[in-house]
Amino acid sequence: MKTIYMDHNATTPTRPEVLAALQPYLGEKFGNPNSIHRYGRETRIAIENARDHAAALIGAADSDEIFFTSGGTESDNWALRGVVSADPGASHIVTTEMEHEAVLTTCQMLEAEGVEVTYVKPNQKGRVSPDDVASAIQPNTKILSVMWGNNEVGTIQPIHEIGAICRERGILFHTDAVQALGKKSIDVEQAGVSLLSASGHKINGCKGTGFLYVKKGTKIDPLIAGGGQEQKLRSGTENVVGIVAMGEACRIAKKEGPQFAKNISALRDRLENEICERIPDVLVNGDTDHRLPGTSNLGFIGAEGETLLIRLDLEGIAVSTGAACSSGSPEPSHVLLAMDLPKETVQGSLRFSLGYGNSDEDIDRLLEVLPESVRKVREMAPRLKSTKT
Amino acid sequence: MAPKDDYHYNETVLAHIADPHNIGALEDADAQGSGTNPACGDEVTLYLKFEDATVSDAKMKILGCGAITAAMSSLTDLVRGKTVDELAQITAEEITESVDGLPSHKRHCATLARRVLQNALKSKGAS
Repeated sequence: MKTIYMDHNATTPTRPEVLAALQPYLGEKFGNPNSIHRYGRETRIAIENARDHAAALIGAADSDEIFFTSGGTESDNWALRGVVSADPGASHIVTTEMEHEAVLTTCQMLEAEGVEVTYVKPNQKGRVSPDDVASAIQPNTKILSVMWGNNEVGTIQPIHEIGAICRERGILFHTDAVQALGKKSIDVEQAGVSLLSASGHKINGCKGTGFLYVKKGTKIDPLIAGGGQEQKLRSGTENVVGIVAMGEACRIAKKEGPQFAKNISALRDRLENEICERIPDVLVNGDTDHRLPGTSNLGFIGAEGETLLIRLDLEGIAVSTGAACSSGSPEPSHVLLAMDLPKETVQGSLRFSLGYGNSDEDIDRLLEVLPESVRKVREMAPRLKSTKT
Repeated sequence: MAPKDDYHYNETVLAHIADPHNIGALEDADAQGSGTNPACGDEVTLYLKFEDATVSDAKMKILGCGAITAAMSSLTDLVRGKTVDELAQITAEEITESVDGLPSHKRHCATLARRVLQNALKSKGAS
């Protein structure tokens, strides 16, 4: 069976160019980049090269502002904890209800440690208002954390407006750009961002890699102590293979990003339009005016997302659901709940996230299978629900 | 021994989801029970038809996740030929075992399936 992958917001396939770039570092180029001898020198050059590519992708003024980590989650944890720890007066954080668990859970843990946190509520499309963010700022606010683009519904936040507010008020601004990286043009200087989290495996690199951008002059304590790697801020022998992969993925994203975004947006729009034409009672979740390219979150009223997901999986099509009973939690996705969507929409939601390797043929195949799957699942339901009145 | 995977569905569960047994309503049901799981929104109705004091037919309608679909699909097979007393003895564990196990975070679905059966038996008692 031909399989089709439409879950790129979960993870992405490693590109062949990336595999080729990392290969030598799994074999003959095994040196510790902190060693003084030639083995160390060659891997040091490789990770500094990767750092340059990462810096270029996000418009960092200096490559020294890039700190390699184990991924987006560590970067999020470190950004918030590191900044709070470095300033004894830091007693308030502003964030949103739309954030990834890596930010939300860290904030909850910091709350238990006595830090005050304000969670700004988004509108029904998942977007927060810069005014609401500004109103949440208190005299003791140290940092704002607002994600660039949401992983579940793809909504893009007004990052530049929020960055301007932070600049004006002298507050640090952290953004989780894990989903936006490689799909949106990012310039941390222009956006007024002080800290930015990124992940390698979301941009066709490898799992277990990421970085935190820390603008020069930002006071931050390390999260992981040890041998003093990464300018004494992130200890542990560098994951050379993963960093090389991340660097190559960043290089490709810088070169191909705009065209890539255009391609997957066109595919996403076709997918969404044709699904809505062929299947009744489908609602689009998220903000279609401010959305990540490639992401479409649809609510199939009167159906259940996970059952649909498995039916598609059995046909070889991989998608995702953020709704109830998925991912180990009996509770519906906190993102869809934050958007105050009707229960039926949340329950029947599926996320299609397109990326490298997807084509029109994939959309054709999905359109062959999905209408019948939805029809069958709806037929099973105790009562058919309709959005039509 | 296969590596332990307590997160994903096994092949038996997947087969039930792909082709759930006994979908539909029984217009002349002798017993009918419903149940919901408010946290995730699952809604289930079970219909039972009795002949000579044992279940001769069972059907169900369902709006729910994979685990409840599999649990109910299996339950509609499990109940056949059983008396009311035997039905009352069916446990959530038995339903879970009948689909070769459910991930631990999904076991509440077997509890819901059992509750729906109990509700159906109550309706028979009331009729």
